[in-house]
Amino acid sequence: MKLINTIWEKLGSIQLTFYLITLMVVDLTTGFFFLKAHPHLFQPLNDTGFIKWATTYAKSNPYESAWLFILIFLMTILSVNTFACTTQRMILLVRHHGFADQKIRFILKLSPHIMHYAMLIMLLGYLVSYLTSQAWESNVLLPGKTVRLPGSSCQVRLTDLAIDYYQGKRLVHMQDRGIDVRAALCIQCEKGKEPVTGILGYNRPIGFRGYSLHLKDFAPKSKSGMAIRKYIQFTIRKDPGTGFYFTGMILFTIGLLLYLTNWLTARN
Amino acid sequence: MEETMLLKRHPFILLILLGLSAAFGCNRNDSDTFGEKDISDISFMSIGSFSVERIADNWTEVRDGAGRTLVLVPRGEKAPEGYEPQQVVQVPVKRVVAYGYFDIAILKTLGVLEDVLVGVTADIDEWTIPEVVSGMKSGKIAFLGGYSAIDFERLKQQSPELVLTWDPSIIPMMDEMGVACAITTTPVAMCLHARMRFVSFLAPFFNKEKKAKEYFDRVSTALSSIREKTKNVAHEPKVMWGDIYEKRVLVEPGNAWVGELVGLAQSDYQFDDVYGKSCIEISLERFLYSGKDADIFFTYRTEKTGATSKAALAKTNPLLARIKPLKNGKVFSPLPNYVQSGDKLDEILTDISAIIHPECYPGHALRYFREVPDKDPVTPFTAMKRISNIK
Repeated sequence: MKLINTIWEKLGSIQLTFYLITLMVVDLTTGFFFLKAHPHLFQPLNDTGFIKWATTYAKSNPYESAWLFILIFLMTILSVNTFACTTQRMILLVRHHGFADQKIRFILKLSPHIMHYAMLIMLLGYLVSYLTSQAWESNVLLPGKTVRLPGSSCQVRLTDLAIDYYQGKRLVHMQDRGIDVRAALCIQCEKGKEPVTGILGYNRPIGFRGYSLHLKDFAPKSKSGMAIRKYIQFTIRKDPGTGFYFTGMILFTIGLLLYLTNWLTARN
Repeated sequence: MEETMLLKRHPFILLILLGLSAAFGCNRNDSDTFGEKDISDISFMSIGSFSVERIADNWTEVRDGAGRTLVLVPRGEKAPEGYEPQQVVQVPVKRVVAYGYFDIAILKTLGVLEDVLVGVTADIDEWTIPEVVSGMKSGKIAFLGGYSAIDFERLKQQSPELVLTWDPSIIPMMDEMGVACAITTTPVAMCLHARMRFVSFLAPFFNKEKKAKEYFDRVSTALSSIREKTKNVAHEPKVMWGDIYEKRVLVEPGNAWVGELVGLAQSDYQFDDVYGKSCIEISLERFLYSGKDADIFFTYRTEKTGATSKAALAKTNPLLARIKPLKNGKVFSPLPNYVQSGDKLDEILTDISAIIHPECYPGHALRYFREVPDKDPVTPFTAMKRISNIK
């Protein structure tokens, strides 16, 4: 029991946090140079999934990808360290504070720990994404054409494509170049039922039954130049990790607000 | 002694030093050798944005330039589960439609051009590849219309099994026709390694991996020769590659094979810091700034499209006259066979190296580029025109 307690305490030590963060800085600096030198090696990580990437790209280029595996290892220990450290503090807080008269003060004191737990949930989300998410790259839609959502009977149709071209005078080289795009999509799963509609754009994905649609490219990008058909290119993703990110983010925001309240109260 | 103690007490310092040495030890030359392995020995190969993976003894999965996955299955055999019908390609492919000149040159490298090519998007008078010209004359290869006006009915008549294209907008039509489609260009320019290895992406479609290796070895030998010949040069000329058009300024970025080759041949590429797709747009100011002290300028324009002389180029766009190569440097323009000679990449690379360092290649006759003269030669027609102007 004593040994377990010692390990538990060591895992939650701030010294371990310091060493881990220092090592992560070194590892990430190394990774920056490898990423810069070999972008094609790491780009597929976004859509192939981590396990597939590790058994193909990483396996055939172990020297260039080693930093990423070291980073994952360090992040895992950091997560355990954060969990142990936060839980130790939480236990102390619960033990040494009376609830009856200081409920609000107690809740405010929890704020840093709420943020730590939120961060762990977000990291868990990344892990779930890397291990289980699926991506279908470069789906192309022309106005009026349809694409099937993989693994379902739902059809996605491009009903309208509006491209805004730059008409200002200040940036001469941007004249008549596409600066914004709005693709109206209609998703129909069963005939006779009301279809789901949405506008797809940059930084404006469409979510539907666990799938998310992300705009990748569009054409024509310019009013002049090569005559190109109107189309959009988009990625379909199915990512169970997103639920974890959002939960983590909401929790983190709550923690941050509580921390701010606690800080303002202490100041006054 | 104290240092040793320090390292023992704080092992993370040693790790930091190791990490930093690994990071700074990694330089751009790594990309030259990155992934250069014998295709027959490995089950996976990445070629820039492309990849080839042998997922079973008889199945190969390839990833095209747009990140789409295709699975290559021997004719008559069952396709693996989990793939859509349009992702399955029966190999060896027997009928191909190709958009790009480079794709067609690679088909020639693989020795399958005459057998498989059935459709192109350039008319007969635009071709310098004899096999394509004769194929079009005999009617085996059809002109399907320009890239923006493809005659899909004609394409259907040609019954292709595979379309090699740079245009993603045709994918929905190809899916409807049940024809497999591979995007052979990438959103980011192909580096030198990817350009040399691209043949290994197309080879499994035709079971011609051995030919691909021969080609890669040939180009690798040419590169080694360039490195060897130019390693002791005294002067490193400054090179730029691009052009100014009516509304746009386009150049080859530093990550493109051209930029990499220029660096490899002991010279300075003026757009080394520009990153992106091939033929990338930059500002006019940046182009003129780089042109201020450049020695050699490679224009995209051919003689047919206006690069008849430096004077003609300057007349087309007076701003271009400000760059040093047009005033007292050298300007080179591609010959018509340049874009269609991807099968002779070794010769093209040697030509570029000979242009940059003529002192290393005495007596070398250029085959893919011509030096642009200062002025257009005087012909009876131009002489008459000048006289009439004076009058």
